[in-house]
Amino acid sequence: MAVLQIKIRDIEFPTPIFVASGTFGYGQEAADWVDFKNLGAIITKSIGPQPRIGNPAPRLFETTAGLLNSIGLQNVGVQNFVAEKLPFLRTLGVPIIANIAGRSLDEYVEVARILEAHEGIVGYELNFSCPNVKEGGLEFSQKAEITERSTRAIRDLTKRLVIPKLTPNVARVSEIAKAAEAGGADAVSLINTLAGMAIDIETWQPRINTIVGGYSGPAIKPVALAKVYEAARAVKISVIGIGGIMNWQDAVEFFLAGATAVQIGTANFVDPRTGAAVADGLREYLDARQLKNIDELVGQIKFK
Amino acid sequence: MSISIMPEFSNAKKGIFSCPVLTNDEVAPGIFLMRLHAPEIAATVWPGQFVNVKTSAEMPDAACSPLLRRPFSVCEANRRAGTIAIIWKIIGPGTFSLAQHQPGTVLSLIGPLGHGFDLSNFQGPIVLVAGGVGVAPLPILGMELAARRLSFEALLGARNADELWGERELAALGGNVQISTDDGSRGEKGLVTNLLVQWLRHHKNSRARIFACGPMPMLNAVAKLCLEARVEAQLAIETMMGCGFGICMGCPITPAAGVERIGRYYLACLDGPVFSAETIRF
Repeated sequence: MAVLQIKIRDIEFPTPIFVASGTFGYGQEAADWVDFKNLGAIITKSIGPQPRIGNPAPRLFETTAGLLNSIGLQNVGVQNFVAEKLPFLRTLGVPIIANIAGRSLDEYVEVARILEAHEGIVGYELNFSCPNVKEGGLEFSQKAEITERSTRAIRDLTKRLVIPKLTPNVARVSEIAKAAEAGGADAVSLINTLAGMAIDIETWQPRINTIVGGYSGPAIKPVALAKVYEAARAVKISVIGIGGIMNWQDAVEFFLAGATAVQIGTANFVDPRTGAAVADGLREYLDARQLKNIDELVGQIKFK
Repeated sequence: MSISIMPEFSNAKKGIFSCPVLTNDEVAPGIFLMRLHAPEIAATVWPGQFVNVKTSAEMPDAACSPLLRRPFSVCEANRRAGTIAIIWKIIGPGTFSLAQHQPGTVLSLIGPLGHGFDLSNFQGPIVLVAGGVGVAPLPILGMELAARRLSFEALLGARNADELWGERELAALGGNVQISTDDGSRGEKGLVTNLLVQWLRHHKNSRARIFACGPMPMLNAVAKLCLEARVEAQLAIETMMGCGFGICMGCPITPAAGVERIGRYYLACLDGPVFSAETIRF
């Protein structure tokens, strides 16, 4: 039987199917009715230095096979995370990656320093790309030199995995991925949401409070796949693919394009068991082709 | 109808269930009532709780449009038969898709979800108020009241006589039902809140409890009337939701005391969908 286990640097994950930041809460909400055993990692809701109340309604709007959101990084803040959320996450037996969001490099560093003092976290995903707060974070993954410098600042304070999460809203994501690699990242994850909007033709008002929000869901999968393919060819570090994965077939495409692991995002809102089902389907797919592990798929796209 | 008292909603055990459609009928123009076999949900659902329904049929790689589930108040529950009912009006692709299903089709439901009505310590008359298909959670509430041998009045509003649903169901549970329609084709002409104004005028200082469900402008009006009359009101709100169980944070409701003071927005799916009128800001 195929082995789903993967390694990023020297850290082992039981499967290459992770759940994306902001789509699985802090693990508590679904814990008593969803089986986590097939998940490779849980990436937490973004954690900032202080609690954030997030944006007013409307925060969501569904488009054709997609979703616009403008949650605004609502989160409990690092102190509450450590006191109230992390002890529970540790009990799940699934590797935990903490997603960090800040308004300045100092804030990323501050949160990472506090988390360093606590067990049960295998890595940091750096939210360099939230489109829904004024102070952004977005510029951290739109300018290569800022990406490199910021990644380096976190690299210098931890031995844990450092994984910048990149925006697709750039001309060359490969340049940003290379900057992250140069800054000492162990992997990059992409894509965060695309900038998108919708307008109510009755009221002539934007459908979500920030006018432009983050666009996700199966509609964006081809864009995500193209960006993952581009990044994977540009760097030697692992690429974690995200964007519209609804089932195991979608995940296989990301592996073939060069992803070492994938994250399930919006699909969790429809069915939080999606990650487990993707892992099961992937195992069967590998077995049916007598492939021993994911490495035999990663980047194996064929050209005529 | 079951005589037993429903369990406290803290006992409600949510899950994802595959539920066969038993009936799916157009009970009024554009308004559908669907019964599903959902024994786990029927066993523990509390009046005012909801289910989040995948509107396309359950099959491998189910359709991605409509993408998200749609939330519906549980309208009726029969614990012995293991069935629940939902009711809706076609307003978009999700509700349209749901209306197409034949008996035997299997749908995916998450539930029971949210906090239902507060049914503790009744000290006065009970009034149920609904606008349109906002009537959805009232039959299951009426069943519980009837099981407790509590009498109630029901004020039902609809656009016209054709779109009225629930009169017979609530009367069968012993409710004293009054009707209003926007066009006067049944009952009193005007908004259902006019019926509430009259009721409150005749029952001053009555320690009544009002249960209301309907569109936000109607609930806002009910809240104002009840706060002025110092009558307790429980509002089951209708709002857009993403997941329905607290992970997407897509359904913020502003606390009456303000977001800054409370420190967070309420979430309609977890903190609601039923709120006391004095706790939220419209």
